[in-house]
Amino acid sequence: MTPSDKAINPLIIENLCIDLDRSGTRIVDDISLTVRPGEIRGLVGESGSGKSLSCLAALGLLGDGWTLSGSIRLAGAQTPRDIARRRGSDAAMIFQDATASLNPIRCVGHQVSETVRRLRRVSPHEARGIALDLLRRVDIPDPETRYNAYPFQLSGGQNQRVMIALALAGNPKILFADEPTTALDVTIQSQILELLKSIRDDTGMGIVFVSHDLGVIEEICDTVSVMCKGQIVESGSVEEVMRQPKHAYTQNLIAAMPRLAVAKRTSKEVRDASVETQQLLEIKAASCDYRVREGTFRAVSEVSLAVDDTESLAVIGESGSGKSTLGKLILGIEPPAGGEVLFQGQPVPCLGSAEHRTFARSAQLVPQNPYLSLDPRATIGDQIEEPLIIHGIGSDTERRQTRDGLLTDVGLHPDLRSRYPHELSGGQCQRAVIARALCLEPKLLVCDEATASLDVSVQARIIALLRDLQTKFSLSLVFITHDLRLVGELCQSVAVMRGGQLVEHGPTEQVLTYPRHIYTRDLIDAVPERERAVA
Amino acid sequence: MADQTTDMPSETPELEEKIGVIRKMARSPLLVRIAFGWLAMIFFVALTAQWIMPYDPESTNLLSRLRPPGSTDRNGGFHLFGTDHIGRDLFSRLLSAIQLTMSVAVFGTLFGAIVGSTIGFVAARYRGWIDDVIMVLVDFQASMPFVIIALSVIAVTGTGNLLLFILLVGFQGWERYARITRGLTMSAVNHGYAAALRMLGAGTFRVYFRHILPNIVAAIIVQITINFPETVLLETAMSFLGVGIQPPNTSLGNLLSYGRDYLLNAWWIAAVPGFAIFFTTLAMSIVGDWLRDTLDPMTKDRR
Amino acid sequence: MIGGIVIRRVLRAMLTMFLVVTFAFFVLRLTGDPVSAMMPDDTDPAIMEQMREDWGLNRPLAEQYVDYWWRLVQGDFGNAFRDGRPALEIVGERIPATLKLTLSGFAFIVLVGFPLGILAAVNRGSPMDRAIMTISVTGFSLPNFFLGILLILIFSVQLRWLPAFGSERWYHLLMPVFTLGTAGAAVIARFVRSSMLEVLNAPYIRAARARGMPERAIVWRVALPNAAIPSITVLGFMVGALISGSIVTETVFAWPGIGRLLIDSVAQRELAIVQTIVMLTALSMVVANLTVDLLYLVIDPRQRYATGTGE
Repeated sequence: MTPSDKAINPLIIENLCIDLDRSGTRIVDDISLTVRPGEIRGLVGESGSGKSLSCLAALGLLGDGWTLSGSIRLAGAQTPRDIARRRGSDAAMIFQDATASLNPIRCVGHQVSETVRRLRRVSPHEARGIALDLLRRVDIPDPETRYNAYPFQLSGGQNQRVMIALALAGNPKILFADEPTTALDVTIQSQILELLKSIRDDTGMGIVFVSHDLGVIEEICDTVSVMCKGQIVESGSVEEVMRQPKHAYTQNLIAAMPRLAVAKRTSKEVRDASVETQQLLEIKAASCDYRVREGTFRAVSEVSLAVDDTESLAVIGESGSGKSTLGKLILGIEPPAGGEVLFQGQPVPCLGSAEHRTFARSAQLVPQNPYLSLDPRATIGDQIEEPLIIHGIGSDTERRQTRDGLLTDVGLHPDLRSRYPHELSGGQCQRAVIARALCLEPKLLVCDEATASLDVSVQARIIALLRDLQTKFSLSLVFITHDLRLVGELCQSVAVMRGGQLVEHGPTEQVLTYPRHIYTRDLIDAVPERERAVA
Repeated sequence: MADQTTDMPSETPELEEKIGVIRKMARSPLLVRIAFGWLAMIFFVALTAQWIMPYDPESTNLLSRLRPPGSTDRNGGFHLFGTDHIGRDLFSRLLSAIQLTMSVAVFGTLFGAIVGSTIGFVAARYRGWIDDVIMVLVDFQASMPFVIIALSVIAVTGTGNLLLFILLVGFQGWERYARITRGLTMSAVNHGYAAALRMLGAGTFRVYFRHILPNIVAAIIVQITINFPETVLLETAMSFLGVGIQPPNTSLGNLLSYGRDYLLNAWWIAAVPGFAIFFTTLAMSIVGDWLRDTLDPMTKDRR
Repeated sequence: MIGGIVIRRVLRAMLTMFLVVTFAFFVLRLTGDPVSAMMPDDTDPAIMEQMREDWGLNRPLAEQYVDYWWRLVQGDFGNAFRDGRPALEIVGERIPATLKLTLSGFAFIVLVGFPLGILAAVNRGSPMDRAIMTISVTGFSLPNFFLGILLILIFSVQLRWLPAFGSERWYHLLMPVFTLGTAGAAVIARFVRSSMLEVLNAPYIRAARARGMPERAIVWRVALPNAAIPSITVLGFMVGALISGSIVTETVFAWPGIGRLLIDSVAQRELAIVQTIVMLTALSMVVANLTVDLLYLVIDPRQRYATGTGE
């Protein structure tokens, strides 16, 4: 490698356009992007904005069916043939689903050493040594043992580390990271981000970091390009773009971005003080077991909580913390293995019983994936109306009025009632699900990761909607989420769960500002945001 | 089972879907259209055989035996596909055999589909030991060639019972219906809209018959298109082997087996019914493949 | 842990065998009186009664069932009605011929089906792919009894290249094996193709491309092993298809094997022979399925290390 090579920018994209041949639509429209050595360039945008596609195009990985124009210069290579030759050695890529990105039937160590052998042309023995070094470099604990592990035996975070080790096998000058931490828990996410930064510092490689999460971008990137509908609408240093967004789309994106801050709740605060609140839900040392092959697995362990009338409680936790199971306990979907779950002083009946039918009128669920929770073969209107039919409420006309009223309440045009779920967007479907849940005029709404599968701007709107509806219908909310940043907007109190146990519970402001439990502190520290609201 | 769709709230989408299928059919590849044409003809023949056959399929004429296709006998009778070893008109015999083969296949397939799907539905609804027992039987069936089971039943009961034979042939593939129905029902119950409906207080009947059933009908139809040619093949094979349909009833398999003895001097007696079977199963496979690609609930409803 | 899985698989195989024996028992005993089913209608009632006595048909069902098991365990499958020889012996004489035919058929299926499927998947959408898939649909829809007859018509009657019957020389095998294996090869080709295509679309293939792995290595060293794993299950099913197929093939080509014996015995209601063949088939199916299961354990690490920590 000659010294002058270092001066070359590892990625220069000029006027790149990508068209989908089948429909003739332009997915990526005239983007230009340069990455300098050692620069971490964020590429942010919502789903379908063309950010992943641009990365694949830069590596020459788009298959048939796409037409490219413009110029791509990848580590000095320009022709498709040269670019293909740079893959692995000068340019590498990591993906969102690391576990699926590894060959499922070979040990991770073999996959790394095989790649090392091919890219560095060394003997198998040397390759093994280098592979172990690489695994150590990416902080895989006990690499000698993990060397012989299969991808399904490792966690998502560890597999992402293996992917990074694979990417480092060829000493690349540029790394494309496509949402590499999106599928991971917050604490793991912050570790991976740290790792990427330290690798950048060591090797001086450029990184293109694709994410939908402005918080993550803010945390790791030096510069950022904002993509919207195939175009780069704004570029600049992260500080510049975050502080003074010029383009309206960026401004909206930043406004929609969830912040780890407690919203000022004026009207609600007043009401909270003036009206005597009653306890609606009380969980007394409730546990929940799942049967597994060797005995039982305790998903929720002796959790005690209470939710008042019109209170909204956030349940925070990482995957496997038991937060969703807690939601099922509250709704009677799972029976408690120990302790009690009381709703208005009565034990919550078990799903399927006659009492549960009555209970269902007071407590409802908004699940994560709205497409899955709607019958694909029934119209939105019919499905919103259905709970009324089930419970024999009202005449046909009244039901229709209720339905149209609810559609308006959740911000959907009543004309959408004759549509089918697949004809609506994810956000619209989630609104319909909320409308259906509200149809029976419940007192309590359990939202289980209800915004997790939605784009940021849609997420912000759904949260605003929930806030409005809460006031309008005097609802109590149990808002189950992995994202601490959503809590402040909506909830007065927070419960933090870990490994089935409740580790902390208190008013939102107090928990977020003065966390008592060390795990809560870790969670807050892991939140990707450069300036902490707390600081 | 067929009229359960009538008062479905989802009548319009199904109607729309049907129109969509017809529209897609019009735009389908030539091969698929030919296959549809052939099947339409076969079904037409099956429905109208007794009115369109030129001769009585059983009337023998020893003076005009083994006539080649397109020949005229001494009485001036024209034989499109020739005559067999005792002078029966092959074309007429073919039409009547198609009628029998298709009746067995249609009734058998419907019987198997209904029985198999019901078993799968029951397994998914009741779970527990009922499900366990059903799944053991399904596994057992999947690991035993059906012909062997059918043959051992025939060995005991003897040949010649037409109704029993139809049911036996139709039973073929029941385990696949059961498995598909059970799997789809369970996944609907566990994850999706069914769980949501139960949470809203909907009863079993509403969840299973108003929501789940319409959603898995497409998968069952696809399975029927796979099973139908297999039923035709099983019936004709057993008839060919002499352990299926018995004379005087004649299926395409019987015709073919008669033809086997005259391969040296009258190839058409075997070739005509053979190609009739082949083209029918081929057409059904082509249509089935195409239907699977267009209707497949896996590719359409999932996001 | 692996031991546990093996034991579970073996238990499942034994359960299947148990079900087969029970099935055979009930079909034989409950669907009618085997004596009156087998004997001509005008047989002397005293002789019939004597036979019922000999076969223990007058005793309680449970006792008969235990007795039935006891005889099977001792290798007593009953005697043929016509010549009184043990059914097991009669069936045993036919095993080599059937084995020769089915094993060749199996080789044909593997050697033709796999390459065609891979070729079609790698050249997806090309004329080659379309040609292979057309052949596959045709092969799958062609009834094997008609295929056999067509082959005889073409190669024996018209061209006079091959004899229609006989089983002594290697060329006698050609037409029967082709008849027996075509449908299976067509199924395997289709399955391997779709399995390969699915794997070739998997994220780990894209990731392998992104790190510059050559396309040949991706197809042969990554995609093929992954695609081959589910194909093994289908190969297991093929054993059943070969057994059913051999019944027809042996009849068409007058092959002196078990399949033809079965058809003759069904027609003559030789229940002892039928029952022996059913057991033998079940045994080979159970062995085939067990082999498939164990093969899975060997080649698929996910199966080997599958632990019981929930779903």
